[in-house]
Amino acid sequence: MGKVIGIDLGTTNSCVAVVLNKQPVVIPNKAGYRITPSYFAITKDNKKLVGNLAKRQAVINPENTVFAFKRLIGRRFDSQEVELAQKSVAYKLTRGPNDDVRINIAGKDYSIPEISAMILIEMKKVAEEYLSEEVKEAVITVPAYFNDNQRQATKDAGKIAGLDVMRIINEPTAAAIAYGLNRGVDNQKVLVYDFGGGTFDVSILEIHKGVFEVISTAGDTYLGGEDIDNRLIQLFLKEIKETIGADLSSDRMALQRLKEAAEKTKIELSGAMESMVNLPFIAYDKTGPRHYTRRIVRTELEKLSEDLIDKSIAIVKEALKNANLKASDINEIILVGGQTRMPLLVEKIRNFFGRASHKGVNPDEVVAIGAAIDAASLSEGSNDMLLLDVTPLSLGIETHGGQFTKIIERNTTIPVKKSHTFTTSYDNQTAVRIRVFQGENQIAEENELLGEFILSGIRMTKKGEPRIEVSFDIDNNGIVNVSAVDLDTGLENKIEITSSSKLTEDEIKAMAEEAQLYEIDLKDE
Amino acid sequence: MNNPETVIKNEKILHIFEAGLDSFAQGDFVQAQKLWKEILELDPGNELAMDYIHSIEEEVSFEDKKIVYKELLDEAIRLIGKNQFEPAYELLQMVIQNDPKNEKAQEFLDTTKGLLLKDYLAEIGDTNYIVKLNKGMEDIMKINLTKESAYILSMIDGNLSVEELLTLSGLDRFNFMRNIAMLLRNDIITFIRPRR
Repeated sequence: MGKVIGIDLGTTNSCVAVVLNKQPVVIPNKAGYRITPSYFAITKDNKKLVGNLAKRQAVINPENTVFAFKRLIGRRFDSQEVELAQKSVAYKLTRGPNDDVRINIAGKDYSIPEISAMILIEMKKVAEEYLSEEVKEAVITVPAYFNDNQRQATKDAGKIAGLDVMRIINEPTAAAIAYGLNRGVDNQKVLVYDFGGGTFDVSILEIHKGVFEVISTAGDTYLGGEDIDNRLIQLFLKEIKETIGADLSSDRMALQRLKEAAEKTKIELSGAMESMVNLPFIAYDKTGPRHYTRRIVRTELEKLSEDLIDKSIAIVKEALKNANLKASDINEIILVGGQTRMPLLVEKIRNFFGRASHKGVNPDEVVAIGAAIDAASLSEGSNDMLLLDVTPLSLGIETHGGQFTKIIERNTTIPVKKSHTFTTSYDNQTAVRIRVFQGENQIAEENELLGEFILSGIRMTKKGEPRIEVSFDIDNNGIVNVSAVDLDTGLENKIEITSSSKLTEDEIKAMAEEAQLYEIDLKDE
Repeated sequence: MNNPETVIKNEKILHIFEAGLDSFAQGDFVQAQKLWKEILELDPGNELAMDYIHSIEEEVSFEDKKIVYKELLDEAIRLIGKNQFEPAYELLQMVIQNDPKNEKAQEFLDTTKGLLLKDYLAEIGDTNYIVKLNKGMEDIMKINLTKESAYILSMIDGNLSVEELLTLSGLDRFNFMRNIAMLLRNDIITFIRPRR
């Protein structure tokens, strides 16, 4: 077996790491960057771009530049999340043949795993160039709240990219691995605060004798560092209009520059008390070119973004409540995501918990490092580390009247197997349709449909007499298997589970072949 | 000491320019445009003459415009014959902007762009070379840059090649290379060999 890499496939940025000589190493790309923007684009002359180049032309080519597609992976086209996403992005979302969501770029529909695979191919390429050997296996991280469809779709993305995904692990768990193994932590409750570019997640873990247990999660898929960038962009647009008289809100070239300036300013203000915004030739009028220059101080940025940080603290409170814990019960706080470098954010967390957060890990890279450590332990067959995760959402089936009957409660440690006995609703009913949902709503349809199957061959009798045992089996990867057996006849009936948004093997194979062509394009560049 | 021929030429240009201004003031735009055209014959690409020819657009009646732009087209063709592609391009752009259906002008414009692109690429050389800024921002701000040039400059980070900047710019190849050539000529940018 060759080297197994760890990949943090982020909503905004991705990172790849590997363990070399027993030390985790983040692998930089050829340009020297240790993180790669999770952007994919096709230009008007049909060039495929990934990473920094794709991001830097995103504003001038918005219809054919895809980002934050992680919010859509494994989702059905008619889900609420997809409806919300379409309002916030310029690229077009379409319905796939399996009712999954696809993205139309330059006239062609791409599945989300296919686009995710473009990023993974890039990460694979970066690793192979660094290691000077082929890379075939990886551990990939996902948010703790990802359901079965989303985890499977991530695995499919790996397959399309030519990677055998040995394990899907939760991002906070990976962060805790990087933290735990480095610091010899034991018997502690750890809160992982992940403020990324586009999403915010909180997870509370318990680390005991090398066992990592996720005990609760909470988050907001539309809260991230980019929201702070947008506040700055709006400020610049307003001032440019007031001082120069130019409305640049529809000027794509100007907006691309403003976006880059906003992010640069925000980053600088994490280290310095003030920053200069310098945008020469930002607008043109009858007098000629106009320039925008202004000094911005840290307190001004803090004023602009404080409500967003307060929102994140409210979500922290929710996670604590889910775990029946108080702030004072938390032993360590781990910060993940570049935005956590912001001094105000660090201060607010310190004030809330009454203690400082741990500073020993690079917040941009910690998840990839943890994934690499897990990858190394898997490839060595090591037993040093046992991961225990929980299912973030309750699992159950739809019962009579459209109700949602839970079989596995949320935050149950996995792997787990639980069963429940059901019966028929009508006399002489010979088949039942079992619809598997994940969520917390009492109405089944309000939750996420994972799959459904039919159990037939039930003996004809009065309603309520047959006994049908439905079993839920969640494995280490968080993948759900549901089975049913008729206990009275003792017969094990054949069960077929139909996932509503999975790619077929043929589709994956075709996408993988096409992705190889893309790889050739990259080498030619 | 100035070259006598240049001095004479400049004085002559000055006289013609002033005569053009007089005609313009009297509302004889066709005559004004004719005189400023003469300046281009003596000094191809003369920016002042070009600016004033542009200004005619706002003043001239539709019928007069037709005459004006026909003459501009004729002048552009004459300049092409003399391998003066840059001023020819400027004049052809003016004609097309006001008469987009002018097939003859479009044909000459396409040909001129092809020839200019060839010149630009020869001037630029290897488009895989990395682009770097050669002047400080204070100096750059004194130069009258186009919006496209300013955008291209804002993208330069010392890691991107000419081809990569073309991709980021969203511009068509001709416009991009035209701006790069201008930036190179004015010593605003320089190229370095990429790292292996």
